[in-house]
Amino acid sequence: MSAPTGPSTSSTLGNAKRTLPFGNGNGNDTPLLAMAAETGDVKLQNDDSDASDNDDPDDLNTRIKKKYTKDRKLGEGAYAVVNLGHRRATATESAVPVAIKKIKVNTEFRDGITMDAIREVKYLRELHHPNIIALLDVFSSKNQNLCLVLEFLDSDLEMIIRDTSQTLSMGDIKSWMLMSLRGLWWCHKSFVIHRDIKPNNLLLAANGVLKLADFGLARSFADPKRNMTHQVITRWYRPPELFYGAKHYSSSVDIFSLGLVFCELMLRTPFLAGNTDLHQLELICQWLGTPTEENWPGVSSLPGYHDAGGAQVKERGTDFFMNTFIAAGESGVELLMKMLRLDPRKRCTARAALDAKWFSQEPYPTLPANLPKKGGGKGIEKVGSDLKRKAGELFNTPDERGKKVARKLDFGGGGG
Amino acid sequence: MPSITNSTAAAIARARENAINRGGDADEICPVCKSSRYLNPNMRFLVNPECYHKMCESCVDRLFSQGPSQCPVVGCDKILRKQKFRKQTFEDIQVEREVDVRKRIARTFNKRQEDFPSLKEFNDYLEEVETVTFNLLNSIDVGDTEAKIIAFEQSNKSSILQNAAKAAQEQQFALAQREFEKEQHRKAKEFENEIEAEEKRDKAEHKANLLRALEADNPDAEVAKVNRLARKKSSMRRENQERRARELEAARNAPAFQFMANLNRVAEEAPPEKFDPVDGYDETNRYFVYRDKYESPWLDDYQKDKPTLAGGYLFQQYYERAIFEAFSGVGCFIEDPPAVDAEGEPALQASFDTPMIDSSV
Repeated sequence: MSAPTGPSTSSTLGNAKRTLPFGNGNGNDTPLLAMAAETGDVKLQNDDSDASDNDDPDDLNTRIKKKYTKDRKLGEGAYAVVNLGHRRATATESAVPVAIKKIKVNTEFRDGITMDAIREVKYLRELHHPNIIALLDVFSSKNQNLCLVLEFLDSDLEMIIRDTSQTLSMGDIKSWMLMSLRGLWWCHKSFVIHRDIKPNNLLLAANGVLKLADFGLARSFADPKRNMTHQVITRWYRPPELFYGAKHYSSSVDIFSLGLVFCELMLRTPFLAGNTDLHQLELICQWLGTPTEENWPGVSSLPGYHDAGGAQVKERGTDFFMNTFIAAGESGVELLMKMLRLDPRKRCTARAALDAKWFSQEPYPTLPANLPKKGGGKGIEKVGSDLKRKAGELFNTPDERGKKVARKLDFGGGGG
Repeated sequence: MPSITNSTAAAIARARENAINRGGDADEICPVCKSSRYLNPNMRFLVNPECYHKMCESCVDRLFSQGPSQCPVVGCDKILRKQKFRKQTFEDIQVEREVDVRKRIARTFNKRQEDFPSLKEFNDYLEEVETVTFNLLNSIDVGDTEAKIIAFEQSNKSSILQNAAKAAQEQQFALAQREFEKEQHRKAKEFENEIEAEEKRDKAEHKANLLRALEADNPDAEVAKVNRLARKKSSMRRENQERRARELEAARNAPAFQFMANLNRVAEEAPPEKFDPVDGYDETNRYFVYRDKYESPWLDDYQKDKPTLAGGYLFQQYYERAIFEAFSGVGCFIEDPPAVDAEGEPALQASFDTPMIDSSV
């Protein structure tokens, strides 16, 4: 893992640079929640100060734009175009590959840009951690499209999971879980809920480091009495409280999603893959237990609560998890159970999960550089399509979706 | 020419009858199109593991080239696919079927003895697997059994994969070992032949020497000399043989390849110095501490709101955020140049003195 950066690298108000609403020149960090200070009249200096240096937003934008070049298109969707590019080499720095995500304006929102883009910019500007994708710069193109310059990452965890030619050791899984939890911990510590944790939003850098990406559904913790939407998180990874239409929830929704990713890493196939929201809830009841007033006090007061009736499954205990996920070992199962509790208040926090015994026991987490990889040509295209996909969706086209379901059913048939 | 056609038809009928009477009946006539090997010497029979009804290759081509379709045997309603047809391995179709079922079961139930705490539990497991196999073979509770197999497969996916990988590795190892033994055997044989040839040559030489010695002026002395020489040679030869045999034996006992000694050994990785859950981030707050509860008339009633609590909303997180935001500017002085510590890194500033989320929540 790279040298601890984090708090110390985040620039401070001491050397504050002005951040214009969409983009600043230096790709450097803005202190968390320092926006207010920035809008004040702080005299600023820019890294690449030259004769033309002034506060004119247009000039600034051109300067940023000039820093990058587009190399080739990786993919195009209804919502964004992703290009592979690189930062031009300067006297002091060499060229760095980047992904340039161009948000199309006026596709859905006639009067501005999509919510996803706003969210992505808003939160990625603030979150700086080795396990979170870095937003290097933002600029606008000539026809006023918004371009996000993101760190270039060449594969994602979903590709690793689907590639059954590779066997994943427990050390590998531990390492990926550790890195995702660190990234998630940092989000939560910075008061941001990711709300779309799933394997194809966990990207892998060429050196093996895992990074959280796609903040299109993220939001900061809501104040009390403020409603949040429950229509978030890709269905297969959505926690039960959202199916019950909870309007007030917390970072524990991300923990549940990550718990399911943990299962998927071991099973190599989605643990709970529902075809509809109702089917998904049914699967949760069947595999994790039926939510009742006993195991989840107050659940019946949630707006969308529906008494399942019929056969009720008790919330699964150690026996079930030990049988199903024996590979994780005792301490791994303990962690998994804490992450998949039905009652969101009983789920552990990311910080508590990081303290789990599992991480400090043998087999030790594999070093990122030694993790199985799946980069190269195909990977680039795949990540390109992941980046341009709208948040919260699993597949790009209906066809693709159908294909996967068919494959899944086939699998369930038990290879004959 | 009706007579010719008649005679041809009669010939065919006779051929069929002959084929049936010859005893190889079932093997020689396709049960679907009734054509016999007599007319088509290249006929091959195929079976489909769905129902194991035998038919000839041309029937398969004819019936299933257009996609899946029903088995032509009367009373069999199985839908067959061309792709699944294959040559029969065993004469008895029941054996063929049993082998298929056992193969499939072995692929799923591939637990090993070392997966169980004791031999007793392993035997119980084998017993259960045998029951499943027996049920499938004799069509007892097929639905239940299939469901059981699928459930087992679902819940043991990773261990099944692991064991399969292990088995593949062992097989590779065994193969390499066998190759090696064959090679050793060949070498030993070569060695024996060599010894034999050498002995023969020496004997012939000795004989020739003896004859030459007898022709000499003083045969007794010459013969004694020749005999001495032969004894010396044979003892030398024996010594040589023993040495080589020892070498061969040593080679046989040594592992075939150097890497084999290390094949199943787990790499001993040095444990990381000390596990740090947050990878070096500083979690201390210098300017404030959190309390568990803050009085607020605005919130007090709301804290008992059931849907909010059940949805997992954490008031603690709200407090933390409020306190954090209130203090996040403390310690920042805009006019100061950035403080730089000994390593040239900007020193920690208050702005990132972020709280840590209480792990007990």
